[in-house]
This record gives sequence, C-alpha cells and structure tokens, in this order.
Amino acid sequence: MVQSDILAKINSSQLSVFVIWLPIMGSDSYQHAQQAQTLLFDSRARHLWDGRLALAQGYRRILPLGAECKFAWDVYLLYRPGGKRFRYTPIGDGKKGWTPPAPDFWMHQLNCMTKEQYLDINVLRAAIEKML
Amino acid sequence: MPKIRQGIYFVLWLALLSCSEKPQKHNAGTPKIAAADLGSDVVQMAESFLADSAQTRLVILLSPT
Repeated sequence: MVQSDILAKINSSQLSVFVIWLPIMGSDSYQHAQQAQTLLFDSRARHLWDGRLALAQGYRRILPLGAECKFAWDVYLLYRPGGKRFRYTPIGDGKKGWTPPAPDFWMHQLNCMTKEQYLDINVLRAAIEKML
Repeated sequence: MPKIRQGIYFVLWLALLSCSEKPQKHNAGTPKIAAADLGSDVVQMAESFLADSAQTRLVILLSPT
C-alpha cells in the first residue's frame, strides 16, 4: 500500500523513508523482516530491524495511544524538513530513556486505538505532498 | 560538544547508508536490513535519520508478519 499509493506516486527525491521492523508478533524475526522489506523496495527507503523494540517503546511514550496499546507499531509518522532531536527524559520508575521527537503528522492502523487518525493512504499522501 | 555530536551522527549515518545498499532496479536483489543489537544503537540510527534537515521524512514502524 505504501509502495503503490505513496512511493510510486510521489517521485520527489526530497522524501526519505525509514522503515523500522519490529518483533511484535511471536513469529516475527529478522529473517521475516528481510523478506518483508521487498514490499517496500524504493531506493529512498532505508530499513532497520529494531530487535529490542527501543523505538516502539519510545514512540509509545509520545503518541497518544490507547491504554491497551503496549507498543507503537503499524504507525506512520511524518516529519517536515528540519533537524529533529531525541531527548533523554524520565520514563518512569526513576529511569531515563531516549524519547523520539514528536512527528508533525501521524496515522495508525491499530486496533487498540479509536478510528481517529486511522490510516487513510490518500490523506497520508496528501500530507506528504503538502510538506514537500 | 555539538561538533563532536554532529561528527558522531555523521559517522553513524555513513554506517547506516553502507548497511542499506540501494537497489538500482526494483528487482535488483534484496539488500540486508541494518540490524542493531542494542536499543541505543537503534536510537542513534533513527536520530541520525531525523537529523537530516533537508528532507521530508516518513518513519514507518511495522511488524514483518
């Protein structure tokens, strides 16, 4: 869907994509991610395996997800041009952790969320085109 | 300190680029996914990606299955 409805339709080199593969399901593995990345084969896309769910936890802290959402995954985060920084912040229980910058726009496909901001690929594409 | 930090990001960015070989054609083979064993490595790679100020960036978090 992202490949055919976004990357194939937006030809700009000003768009860069970072795909973070996560072990959410019990069967998820690096090998599965290696296979799945072929679905997003655009040269502007970079792929990363986050085996420890560091980013899934980090984004969970900043996105207004429902209480039942354990991790942030199946989410689509958009950042305007401009440098963004992670912050080292308290994350509870007296611990600190790296917290990602809030996206300028985001959508999701999570069952643990309301349908508000549920992924509409046309809306996401329009948001990207507006930021380019 | 900011220059040192920028230098670290630049090196990490180069490492990330080298790990994600770009196919020239859509069916030109499957590049290896960059994998980080430490959570801090993942954060550094993501931060170096987001530090690129010239582009609009789409970050997607997915399960492969």
